[in-house]
Amino acid sequence: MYTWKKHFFPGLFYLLILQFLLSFSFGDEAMGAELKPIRVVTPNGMTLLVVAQHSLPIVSVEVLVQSGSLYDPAGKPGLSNLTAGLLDEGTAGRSALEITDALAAVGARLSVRASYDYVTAGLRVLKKDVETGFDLLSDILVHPVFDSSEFKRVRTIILGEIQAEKDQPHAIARQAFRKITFGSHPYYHPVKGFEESLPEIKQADLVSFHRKHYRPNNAIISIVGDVTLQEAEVLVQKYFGKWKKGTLDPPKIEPAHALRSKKVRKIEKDLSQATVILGHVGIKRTNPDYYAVRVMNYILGGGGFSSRMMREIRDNQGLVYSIYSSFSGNQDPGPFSVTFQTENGNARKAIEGILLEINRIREEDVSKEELSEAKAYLVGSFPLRMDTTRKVASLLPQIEFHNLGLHYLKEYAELINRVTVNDVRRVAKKYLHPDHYALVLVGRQKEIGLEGSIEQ
Amino acid sequence: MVYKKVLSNGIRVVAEKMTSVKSVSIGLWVNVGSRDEEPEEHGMSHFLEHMFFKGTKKRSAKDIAREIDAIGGELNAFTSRESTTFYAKVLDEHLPQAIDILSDNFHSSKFDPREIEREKQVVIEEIKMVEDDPEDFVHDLYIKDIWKGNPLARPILGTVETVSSITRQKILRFLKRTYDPCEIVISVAGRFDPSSLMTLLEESFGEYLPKKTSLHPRQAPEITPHFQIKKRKLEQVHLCIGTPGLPQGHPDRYALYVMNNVLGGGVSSRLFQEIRERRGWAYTIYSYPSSYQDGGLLTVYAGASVQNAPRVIERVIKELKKVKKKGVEALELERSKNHIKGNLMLSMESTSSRMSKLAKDELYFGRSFTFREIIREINKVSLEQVRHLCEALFDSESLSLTALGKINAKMLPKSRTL
Repeated sequence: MYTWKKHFFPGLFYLLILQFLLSFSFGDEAMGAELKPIRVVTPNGMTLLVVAQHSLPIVSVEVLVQSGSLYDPAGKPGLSNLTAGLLDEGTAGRSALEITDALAAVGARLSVRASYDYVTAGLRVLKKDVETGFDLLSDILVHPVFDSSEFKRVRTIILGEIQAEKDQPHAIARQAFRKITFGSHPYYHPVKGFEESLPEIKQADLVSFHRKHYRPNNAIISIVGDVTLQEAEVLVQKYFGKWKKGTLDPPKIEPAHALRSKKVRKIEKDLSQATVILGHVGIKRTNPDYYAVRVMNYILGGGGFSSRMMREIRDNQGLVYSIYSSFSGNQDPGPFSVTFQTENGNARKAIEGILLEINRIREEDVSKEELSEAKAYLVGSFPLRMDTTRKVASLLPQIEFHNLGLHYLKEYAELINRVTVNDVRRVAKKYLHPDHYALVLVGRQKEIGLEGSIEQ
Repeated sequence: MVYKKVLSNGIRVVAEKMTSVKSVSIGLWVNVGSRDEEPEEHGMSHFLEHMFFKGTKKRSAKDIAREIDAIGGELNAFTSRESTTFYAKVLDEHLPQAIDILSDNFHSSKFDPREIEREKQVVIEEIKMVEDDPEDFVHDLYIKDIWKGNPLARPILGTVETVSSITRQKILRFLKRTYDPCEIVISVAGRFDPSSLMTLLEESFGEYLPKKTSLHPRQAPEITPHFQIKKRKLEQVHLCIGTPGLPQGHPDRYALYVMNNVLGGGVSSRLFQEIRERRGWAYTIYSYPSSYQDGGLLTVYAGASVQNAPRVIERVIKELKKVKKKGVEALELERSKNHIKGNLMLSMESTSSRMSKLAKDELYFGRSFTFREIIREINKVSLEQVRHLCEALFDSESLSLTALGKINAKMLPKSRTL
């Protein structure tokens, strides 16, 4: 029972306590049973989270660096993603091909992914190859060289990806939606950046972005699987111990302004279906109402086949194949959006259906059954979100990143179960705006025929 | 440890216990897919997959969703060209409820005509979504052309016309003709108690009696080599290039996995390195083998700009020729084997991938393979075996290509042989 709360032991004191802990053996518990991560902060400021689980010879690792596209400087959208994309394309000691080959030789998986708030590097490796895995993981994070020909090559590939997204109705719609919703807040641009912004990014930008953000005191590492705490500590010390601390000076970013009216964007595209996104700015992850919003959104459109939107618009009216609503709880308030695809001629009906449901959940109490079903699902499915080492390894750094504290794993159920019918209505009223939203329609506009006002 | 039991009616149960997890995955695999449909029934297997969630005598569609959500579980289904799978993933204490829902859906679905009409609209939307997604769509076009005339060539979802014509009567007729306990495997992986599991499954599925159905014998597909273009106003050209592959269960299958891994199976593969990494001609490129009971394909997919598409095609063909002529190198062979073995081991912790593996082993081989056995087989693959396989597969007349986008015939290479 070693659930360490973050605020109990600041900084180095952890290391002393560690010695004490090491004299205990760690249980061979099943994933999904109560997880008891250990949190340690290394001398160079890296936060280490460990869960030992020895039943399979697998180790999953994830490093999260607070360096997402939120930190792309003005005029250079795409810098964070490009930097992340070049991490494994050559280091001081290895060429891109050597990295790929070394991974393939032990059958390990290493993947780097940039998102809005942070970049993650995930490693999955067999226990016997864990040293090789760590060697590569630390090498790409700490010593990438951003070679100029690799830089140009990767930039060209990303430009190709951006080009390819022009054939994907969802990507087109999402991009237009973000642009309207977030205005000048960095969430307005795709993580990949734009066709126009990538050529503006120079090799030197990557070097300085890396120098500024890729620092141990800006990073969280989780190690889950067939390692002991002591082994984990040794690995981190050996491979990340020399990583130099930096001075962090994150830029101040004003949150996005709420829309003051309804903004519609129609994009002509010769497609048999219309792709539609409707929504606005939502909430941030640390908002205390986050749990009530999750319950509310589950009932509204997040709950798969059980949600009101799916029932009404897909099942009862047969207007769409799939429809879902979501709140992205990011570092800054992320989007609330409802996304669906429909026959061009049915778009208006579906949009009216969505607005009806949004109004209904704002104006009327949800039923007790709906509330308890939503809670049952959100609580009951939580253990399934942690049933492999990979899933746990990627969840833990997010908990740390959003400062939820490791007791979150235990408290989550209580946080959800506390939500009342009144809370649901209150947060629906507060965070859903049926009059002020962005609406994007991609498809044959003539057939969609969205002229005149939309009835609510 | 793998437990196997045949229920009194002939349904085969395979179950593997995993002590490392708290959850359990269960799948009901019916050996019936789109290739078993009559031409006018096209899309029926997939439509049925939807209809099995639309209400039973005991539960409405809403009740089904509610009950599984109440235990925080996952309940879903998928249809392939030769099987239909209904599965659930839950915490071990909820396994009896999951089995009850799966069994109720399977035995007592009502196929209410009103639900059928509504679901047709949903499936038609799904068909159109695929048509609007060029990467998905080009694969459908490719298989249609390469296996021309064979039921395997038809897209799983069916067409707007055939789906529109589905009625309750047609559904019942199809079920009667194709579904039978002998064609069913129930696969379970995760945490469970073996004896109570077997008792529960006998109670829940044992009464489904054989109807002496006779599945149409499946007709083995034959390759129709083609170079086809489908013009569409798209930013990119989407390409499928391929050759014959191997059927499920072929003794050379591990050599095929190794060869595919070298050719285009991952980021260290030749195609990825040559075309994406070295030259930046394509943003996506990969190859994969697909295997069915009596036939298979090896397909390369690439997405490239209109300008780069012709050289991507040429380069892919060049790489295929190279592997045909020289096979793979010793170092590549070793690396690929390790890559495949590593991936296999890393997939061990997921209950759903183990559940699928068990079911496929049973469906195609009538037995299950241990990881140790598979690893031994992978280790056995030799350079010689890979070279022979390449020679056999890359027959000089069997190369095929389907291109979707703003491309014209002049842009295709003249030589179409390997």
